[in-house]
Amino acid sequence: MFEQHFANYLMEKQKISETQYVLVQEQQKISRVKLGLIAVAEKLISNEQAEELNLLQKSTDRRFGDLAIEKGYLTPEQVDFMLEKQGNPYLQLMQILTENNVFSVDELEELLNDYIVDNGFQAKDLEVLKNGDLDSIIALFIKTDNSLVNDYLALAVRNVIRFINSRPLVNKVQVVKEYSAGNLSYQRLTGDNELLLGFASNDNELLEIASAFAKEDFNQLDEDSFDSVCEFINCINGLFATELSHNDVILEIMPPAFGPNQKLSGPEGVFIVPMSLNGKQVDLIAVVNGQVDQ
Amino acid sequence: MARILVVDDSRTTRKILRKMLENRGHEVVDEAANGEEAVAKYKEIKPDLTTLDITMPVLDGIGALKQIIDFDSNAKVIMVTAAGQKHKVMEAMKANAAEFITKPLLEEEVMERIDRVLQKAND
Repeated sequence: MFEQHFANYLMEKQKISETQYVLVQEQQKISRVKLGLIAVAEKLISNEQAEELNLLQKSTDRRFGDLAIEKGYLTPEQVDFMLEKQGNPYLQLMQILTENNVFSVDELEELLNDYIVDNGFQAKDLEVLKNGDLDSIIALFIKTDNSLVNDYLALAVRNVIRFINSRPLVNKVQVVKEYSAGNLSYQRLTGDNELLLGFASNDNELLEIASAFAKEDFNQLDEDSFDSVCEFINCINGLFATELSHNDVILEIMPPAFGPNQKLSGPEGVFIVPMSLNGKQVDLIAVVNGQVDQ
Repeated sequence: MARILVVDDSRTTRKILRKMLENRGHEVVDEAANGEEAVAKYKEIKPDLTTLDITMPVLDGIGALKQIIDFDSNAKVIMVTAAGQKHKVMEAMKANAAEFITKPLLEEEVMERIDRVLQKAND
């Protein structure tokens, strides 16, 4: 996730050309392999065990490696070995840029320092960004004063990566007083907390989510494609409600809704995580005690 | 092969379920988009098995399940729900739902639960 943001930063700062950016994207796509696949290929676990872990992962939003250790299928050392094999995405980016003689390692380090300053990160964040741990990186991008919202949006981003696009370009969270959506799909959670989660786009960019989730090529935002986005939100909300239920917080999932030209607001503002999925700009949105108006 | 009624307010989920079921040779005899429609269609069709979403407008899955069981105490109903609705699932199981499946739907899990319910019905 960070490597996408950094590569995009380099392009925006005209340190690399659009062609070089595309080349980086392509090479990175090839080099990333899922942990489950590595574990089976290395004969550390059976196909059945991998499937069982995938099933568990589906209903718990926990990492494959953590579940495998808990089940006793893998040792922490084996998980470390697999992670090493999978590769650190930032190091892969470094390798691609240096091997193609775009930058030297020193030049990249300097650019990375500029990136940290320009994006409002702190020097201590550098290690987190470099070490490749997705959860820690997401936490740096999604940092608001409301820890519940942070957890909610972080879970949503993890599921975008899992179900929609393994390499999204995610930007840092923003808070606005009001938000106007060209098109919006959303769902409320009510009960011990009043929350709303949605995805919005100016035009038909939500199709990127609809098509990926339903595994079907939609070409217009109609009831079917909106419905697919709503079902994706429904799954995220289900996972979040499960997490909170462990702390005796009970949330009811309401039927989702969708439509064009919607306005969102809330007493704490509207939390937005802008992201680009295959070049299509989509906003992930969370609101506490939110209101939706046409 | 079973005659199955698929109930979900989401067209996406209905489509995914239909595909999975038909791939395994089952017949999706009809679909419904809310609990009220589900009850009416159940009474008309009397399917071998019904998949019933919990969160739906008009009448939710629990309400529909209770009406279906009132009408046919042997009805085989599998509840389908997003994760995180454990209290609802418990309520459904108390109301004689045969099984439950959580979303997102994975074909292996869905078919395993459906086969289990159908097997039990034939024992």
